[in-house]
Amino acid sequence: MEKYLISDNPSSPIAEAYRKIATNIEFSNIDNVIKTIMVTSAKQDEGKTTTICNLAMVMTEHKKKILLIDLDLRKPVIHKIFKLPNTKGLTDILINKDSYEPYLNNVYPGLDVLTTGIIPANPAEIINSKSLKELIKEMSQNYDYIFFDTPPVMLVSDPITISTYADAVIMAIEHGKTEKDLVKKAVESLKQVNANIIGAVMNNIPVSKQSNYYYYSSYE
Amino acid sequence: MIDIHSHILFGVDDGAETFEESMDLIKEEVEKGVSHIIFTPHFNKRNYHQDKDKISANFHALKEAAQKENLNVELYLGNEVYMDFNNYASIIENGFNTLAGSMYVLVEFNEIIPPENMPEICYEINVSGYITIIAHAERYEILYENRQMLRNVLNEGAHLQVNASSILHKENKERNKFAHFLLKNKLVSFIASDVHNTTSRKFYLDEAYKEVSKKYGKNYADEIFKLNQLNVINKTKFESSNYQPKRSILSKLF
Repeated sequence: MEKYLISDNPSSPIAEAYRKIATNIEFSNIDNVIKTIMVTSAKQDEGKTTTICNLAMVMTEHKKKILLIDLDLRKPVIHKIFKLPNTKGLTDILINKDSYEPYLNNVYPGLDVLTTGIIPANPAEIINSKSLKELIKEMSQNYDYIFFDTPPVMLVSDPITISTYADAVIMAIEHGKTEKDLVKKAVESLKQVNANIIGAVMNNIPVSKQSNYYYYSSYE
Repeated sequence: MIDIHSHILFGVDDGAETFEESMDLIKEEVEKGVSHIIFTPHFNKRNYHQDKDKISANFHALKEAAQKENLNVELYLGNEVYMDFNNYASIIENGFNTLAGSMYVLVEFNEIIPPENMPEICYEINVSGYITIIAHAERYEILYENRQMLRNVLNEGAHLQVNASSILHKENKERNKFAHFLLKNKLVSFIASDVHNTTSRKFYLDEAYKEVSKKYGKNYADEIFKLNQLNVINKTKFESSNYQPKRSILSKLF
């Protein structure tokens, strides 16, 4: 899996595009006010998880220590991407009041992943819990950035809740698929709780609509 | 033919009770053209206590007897592992007999309330290095009603095994219908006997083979009665040629 990104195709246009986003985040965060970043989308299948995994990976190139937490307790997939078991994870830490270190999976140099664990019947309660917020605070002392994968905004209220304790929000939008109004609505509901939306990532843009820059980097 | 699902091993579950009954069943299988049999006693089901020593002793007794009588058959051990919806993790961790020492594991679920997280359970088995074979898949009505779940289970790399008896109207109508739906769509990887005794839950592999060849072609019949099974015995991986898994999420990354 890790080879897929760095050693197999480090100069792919898409990898470069993600690097650009990572650099932008770094520039906008010179004072280190942003530590926790959530990635969400208006609806399902907009490339939210792809975006967050790639972002977390390129962020490690900045010599940063990154933690990726799967907070999508409705339909978790992060473990599948990194081929990890999901029998133990976040929910176990919270329920057993365990220390978090044994539950981390180092999937890439500088990148740790915390999977959801067995999905509980009351995801909203867990997302809203004081213990989760305290756990995140504790973990953020050991990492430069913590990324949260969340469910889509227009589906459940979890991402709205998460946005109240995430320092920054990135929206993933699939080109040509998501209606403008839906994205607007999602952004509005995030803004209502004063979420700090720092940008959007557009996925699946057809090659013909990309700039010359991408054409250039694909000539090799 | 090769039988990968049988309760022939005596005295360890609801299958054969005595040594003699086991021998009768083995002989019947051989007579009807079976060359390899895997004994798959229930594991983690109801109160069939797993007595490893007894399983091993009874297995060797049968193996020896088969050799003495010059029966032309290879015998192997396995388990039919019952996976709970909530403590599957500990079952996977604690270990069971895989089929003939391969990476294939025969798995069953609760038939009355099949777990809704069946795809997740298959994923976890897979990520632990095993390959799931769902025993008598035709019994899980939920897979028939919920095609998305069926697809998800197949996407997790699980193979489906169907009982010979279900193909032949020997079990209830729904199971028969679902079994033929799976066969028609070539989603079945294995047919097995799931034989328990000589009276009520019998051996029907030979009749089922005829039925499948007649209805779905000899090639497919050979594949699911013998060739796929050889992959299990030889410990090799194979993909069901008839199901194209969806593009993995992985391929979306760069």
